[in-house]
Amino acid sequence: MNDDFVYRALPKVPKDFAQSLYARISADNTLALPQPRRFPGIRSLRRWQVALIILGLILVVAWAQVVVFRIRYVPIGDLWLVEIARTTQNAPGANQATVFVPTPRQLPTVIIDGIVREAWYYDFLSPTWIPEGFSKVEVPPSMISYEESMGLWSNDAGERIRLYAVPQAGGMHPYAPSGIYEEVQVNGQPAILIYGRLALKKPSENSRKWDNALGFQLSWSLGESIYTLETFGSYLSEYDLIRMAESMKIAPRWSP
Amino acid sequence: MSALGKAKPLQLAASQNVDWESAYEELLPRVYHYFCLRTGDRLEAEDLTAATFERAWRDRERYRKDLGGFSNWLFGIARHVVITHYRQNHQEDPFEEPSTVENLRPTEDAATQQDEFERLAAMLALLPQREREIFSLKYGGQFSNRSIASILDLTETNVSTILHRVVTRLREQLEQK
Repeated sequence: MNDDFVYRALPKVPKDFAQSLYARISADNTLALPQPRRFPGIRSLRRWQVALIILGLILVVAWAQVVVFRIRYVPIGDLWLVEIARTTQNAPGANQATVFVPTPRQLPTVIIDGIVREAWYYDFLSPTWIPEGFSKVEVPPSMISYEESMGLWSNDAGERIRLYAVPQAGGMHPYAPSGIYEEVQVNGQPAILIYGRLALKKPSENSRKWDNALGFQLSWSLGESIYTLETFGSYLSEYDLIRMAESMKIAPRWSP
Repeated sequence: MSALGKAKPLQLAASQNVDWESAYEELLPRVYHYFCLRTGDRLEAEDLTAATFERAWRDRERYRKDLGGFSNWLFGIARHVVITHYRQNHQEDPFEEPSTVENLRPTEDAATQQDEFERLAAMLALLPQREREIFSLKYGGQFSNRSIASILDLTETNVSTILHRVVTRLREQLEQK
């Protein structure tokens, strides 16, 4: 395509025009570089700056997840307390949190009918002191679960005290939000006293909130087991529970 | 800085690493020629060129290297400047197809000047808006066919076809004269 005639026709840039325009731009204060804004708008940000901000936000959210919602394991004596959030998502109707803590301790195994099974040796503890007004009642089937409900005491008002045990290895350890528990002693050994429990405020809710007023949970470890005494309201003091725990006598209950 | 005399050197736009002095020297002829071809008037081209560079210098912090080359950004301003210019002056868009060819043919005075640019400008005035814009970007702005296609949202083939047709027609008209 012969287009030389076009280039021949193009006028040269007048030299005085080029120089005067350049001088005008460089000398005109009104064309000075604008002052940087203290808070630049999103449109003035470079693409990498926007990416950096987004990455920072993601990191902050992740950090908040770890710090605010993290599950932390706190060793107390032979026990591992699981720190959880005050609000826990759970299926409607559930009345127990399911928090399992892996422990380095392994249960011994036994062979029963040719099958290798974990052997959970534990002792049946029977309290010799019981708060006034309470007497032992049959454990209803609804309370028998993975945990061994070893005893249930109730008074005329229907208020209850429950004793149960779980294996140390692979079992469900005590859990509570940070600051809602304290370390106490049962017969000179470390124990955990937890104030309240997770509770559903309404049956339709799918999350449970921690309620400090819903009794106590006193947990201590013995052998391969974690024992827990618990109440479900403010009808007993923590000292009653500790006294009850310290009054327990050991009696063999089960062996392979 | 041969063409710029002893003027105070323009500072670099540090954030984008644009050497304004070099950019000015390189792009001034391209912008000026673009306006010459678009308007057909040298003085008007000077005014629009000045307006383009002044605005570019004032808004230089807005230039984003990651969004395209500096020349594309500058010509974006240039195209906006010429549109605004005609709108503000309530002038007929020079790129509208003329109602008659006769009244836009080169005058006798222009013909006698034998000024090739005047003749070319007169012939360009007969072109439809889109063809003249493509022609101006190609021979004034020194853009490749691919860049023009990108700027005007056309296919590269379409740009090549139009340019070939326009240049052939212009050359034939020149030879007839």
